[in-house]
Amino acid sequence: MKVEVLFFAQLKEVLGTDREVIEVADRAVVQDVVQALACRPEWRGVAEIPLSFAVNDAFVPGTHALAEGDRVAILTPVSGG
Amino acid sequence: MIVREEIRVKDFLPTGSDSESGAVVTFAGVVRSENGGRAVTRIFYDCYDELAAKEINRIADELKAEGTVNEICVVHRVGEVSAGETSLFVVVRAAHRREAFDAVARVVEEIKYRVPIWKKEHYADQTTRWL
Repeated sequence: MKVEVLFFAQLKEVLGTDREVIEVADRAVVQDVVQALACRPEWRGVAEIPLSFAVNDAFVPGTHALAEGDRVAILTPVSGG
Repeated sequence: MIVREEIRVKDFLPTGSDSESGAVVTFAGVVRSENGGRAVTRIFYDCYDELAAKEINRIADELKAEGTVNEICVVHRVGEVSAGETSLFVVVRAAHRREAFDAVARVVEEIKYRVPIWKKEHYADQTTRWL
């Protein structure tokens, strides 16, 4: 199935895009999206950064099961204010 | 709320009478021109708009549910913000000053901890750093 992945801040810079559609297995969870991205050489620069996640604009754990067309945001530690 | 233009503080100050609120406390977060000994020219704020707006509302709702605060207004500017400009403005109305001061401090801390906004400092020497 396909999901849309959103990137912000450092991840957006490292990956050179703010979003992309990727193919994952039918029973994939959020962490599987990270595993797919971690195979890319550009990911090395951010591999040590702790991540949190949101699906369809709601925070979820990495074990959250995905559905076709979900919008998955991968979030680095926030620093607003 | 999330905005991309200059925060005109007076636009968000309470108007009209509110006899239930004995205290109105405001906080303005301003981009400093120095951080850790480095000259800062501006900050770029990246934002996950949909979730940031939701989370700001959730923070306000949680505090109001405690029953000591009457109204909370939060405005966070994103995009490019120059040194000296306001990036965050918070207004709290409460019956008593102590609760109002406490609520403002808690709102700011919760925003820094929970709301998906990221800042990238731009320095006078042309370098940058994500914080």
